Amino acid sequence: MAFRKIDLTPALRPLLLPSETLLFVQDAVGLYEGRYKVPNFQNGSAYLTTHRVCFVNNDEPRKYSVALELKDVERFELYNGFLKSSPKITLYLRPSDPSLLNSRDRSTSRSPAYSPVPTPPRSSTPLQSVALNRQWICPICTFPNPFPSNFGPLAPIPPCLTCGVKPNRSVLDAIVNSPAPAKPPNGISDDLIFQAGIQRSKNACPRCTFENDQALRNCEMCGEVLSSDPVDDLIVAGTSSSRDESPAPTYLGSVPAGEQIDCVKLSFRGGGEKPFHEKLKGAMVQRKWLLEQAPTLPAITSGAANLTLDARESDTTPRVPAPTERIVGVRGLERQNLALRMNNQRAIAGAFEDLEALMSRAKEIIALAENFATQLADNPSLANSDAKEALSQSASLLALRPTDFAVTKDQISSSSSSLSLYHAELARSIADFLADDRRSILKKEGGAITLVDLWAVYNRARGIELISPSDLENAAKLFDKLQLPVRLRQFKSGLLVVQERNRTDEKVAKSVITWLEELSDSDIRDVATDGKWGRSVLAKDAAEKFGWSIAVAIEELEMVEERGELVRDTSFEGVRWWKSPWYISE
Amino acid sequence: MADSKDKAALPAYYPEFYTFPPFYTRQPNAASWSSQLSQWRSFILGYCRAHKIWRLNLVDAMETDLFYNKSINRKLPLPTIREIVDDLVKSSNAEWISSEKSIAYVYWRTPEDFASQIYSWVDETGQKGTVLTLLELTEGDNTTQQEWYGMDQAMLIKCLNVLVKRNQAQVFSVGDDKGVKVW
Repeated sequence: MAFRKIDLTPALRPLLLPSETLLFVQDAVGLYEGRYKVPNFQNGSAYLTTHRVCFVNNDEPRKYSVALELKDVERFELYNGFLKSSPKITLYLRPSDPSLLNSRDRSTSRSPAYSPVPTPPRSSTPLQSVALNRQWICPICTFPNPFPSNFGPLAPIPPCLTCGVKPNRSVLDAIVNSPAPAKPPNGISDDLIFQAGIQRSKNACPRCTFENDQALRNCEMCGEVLSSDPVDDLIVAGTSSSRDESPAPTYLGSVPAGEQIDCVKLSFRGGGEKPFHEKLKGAMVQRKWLLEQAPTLPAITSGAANLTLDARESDTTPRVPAPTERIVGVRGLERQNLALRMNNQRAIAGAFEDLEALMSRAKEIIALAENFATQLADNPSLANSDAKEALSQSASLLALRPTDFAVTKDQISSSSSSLSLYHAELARSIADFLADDRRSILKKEGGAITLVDLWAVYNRARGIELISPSDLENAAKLFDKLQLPVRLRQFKSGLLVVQERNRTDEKVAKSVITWLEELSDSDIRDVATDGKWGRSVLAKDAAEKFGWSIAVAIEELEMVEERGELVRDTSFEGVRWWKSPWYISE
Repeated sequence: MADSKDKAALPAYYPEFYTFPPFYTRQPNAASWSSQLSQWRSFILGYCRAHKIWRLNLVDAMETDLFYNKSINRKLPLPTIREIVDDLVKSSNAEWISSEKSIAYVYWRTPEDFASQIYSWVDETGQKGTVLTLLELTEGDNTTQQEWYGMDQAMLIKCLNVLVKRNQAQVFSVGDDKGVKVW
């Protein structure tokens, strides 16, 4: 099965990979495998990222959330819907093991008993299967374009995706007629050729014929996606080659035996299929997942590698230090340091040359910034702690990754329910932001943060694409509905705070009372009052103790007062709070 | 401890909350307020009884020990005092003299209680059937030991009216003064 269960963030959004970015979200989506509805996957949100298509069930997100890697998708098509049939996007999977060979024939042979849902007409002409996995090279810019699925003598010729120039029909004809991936007339797909032929064992590239290593999924030379290897798929998809008979554990639906899944459909019951399709098209063309495997930009120099590159990077692209003159001793260390500094200087200078360069070198710069931060922390010569703090703060700001949680309006479908969906996504992203352990914002704020503070902090973290206060409020109002780990709470005075869900009034009251009881008699400030009444506190003291802001502290104390466990003493110095001697706990 | 000395100095009718600063702030919480209110009520009545206060002038009383604890520098604010006295009025332990609610009669005993006391005193001293002036009752040498000694005239008439209603007394005017005959 191409679907894999995915991890969700505390806010029930898909956990994104390090370089993955969210492209689009659409709610009211159902999943189909082949022609059949998948039970439990009929009401959810579809998340399109640069790497995956994720499905998160609305009702039981932890249980029913899956993702499909875009790299497993061979092609996709849009079906606009007809009468009661919703618009759908069909994702045709790359056949990944030999048992799939005949699947296409089987799945197209419809038995009337098994057609509960209308499916978009799927052409099974030989021409189309030829088109599978083909590319035509643009004669102008040499970009390898996907072969048009509907190519025929009368079909319009698509322009090159990069330069926009329509190729000569002969270019495409040549591909169709080219003998290399010759299509046997019996209708068996050309995958058979790759998988059965000798090329397969050596993992030869279908385009440039370079014999790649078995483990590679993409050609080392030209980047072409290699036909999948059974061993590979065992690891990746967790399936067995004999799953024709016995579905793998991750298998989702109850498709009748003998039926093979070669496509997955997303049914857009609430609309939004068009923008989703557009973004999907973009993602499939960009193929960000390839970038991950590709070597990074030529490093500034190899000497900086140990400082600037993270472990993973240096693993994948081991750098061979240039054979240099061997210098030992203090001089050698000094020289090494000097070289390192030069490199860092160059890295920074280069990165800020233009924004493009900054983006491409973001990783390195972030690593540098983190490195500076740690160096600052150890540096005893920086006696001025304020400056140190400011520096480390700016360094850590540089390392912020706003893409982690930034949801923008254009990522959300523009269908009718779009605004609430946007707010829901925003709510999820805010919840993620608050739950982020690295920031631990809620902890620093004593478990509750006013909406105003949150707005400032969140927007600061976003940096770009700032959200409006009303959007934040609307999003915060959805916390409860979405069952997020945070909730919006309105105090009696109308002050809105966002706090952890498990933080109840009882708990706060208890901690406040315990604190008051614990306050030792030794440092009684009111000499006039005897120890009989315990100690009193100002809101300021509570704010200091629990890390609340003053506004929150006042509200929390009033909340405890409302419960009858505190009494107030209004005097010229302000309101002091005492444990209530009249309170009778139930 | 200094506290225990303070406490010892305070008469018994002082509530233990006398030194509790929040006692001097109107508690917004309903449950706390009702406890606070009942303590204030009994304190006011106890204080008035001990000091033989019949008319309570709120503004003047604010500066007395009743509403002002100098040791902790806390004063019950006037609106709260008024609220408490209002509550006393509701339970007929007090009565506003003027409509602007600045002075009130405080009945630390109900008029019925006073009426019964007067009746039994008259009975015990064998003065039934004789006419007594009101001044005799409140200022006379024979009544100094009685609880109602020094009682405000208007209040006394209210108490005597209870006896009148019980058909045990009759109030009539004697010149400028008023007299009462109990039988």
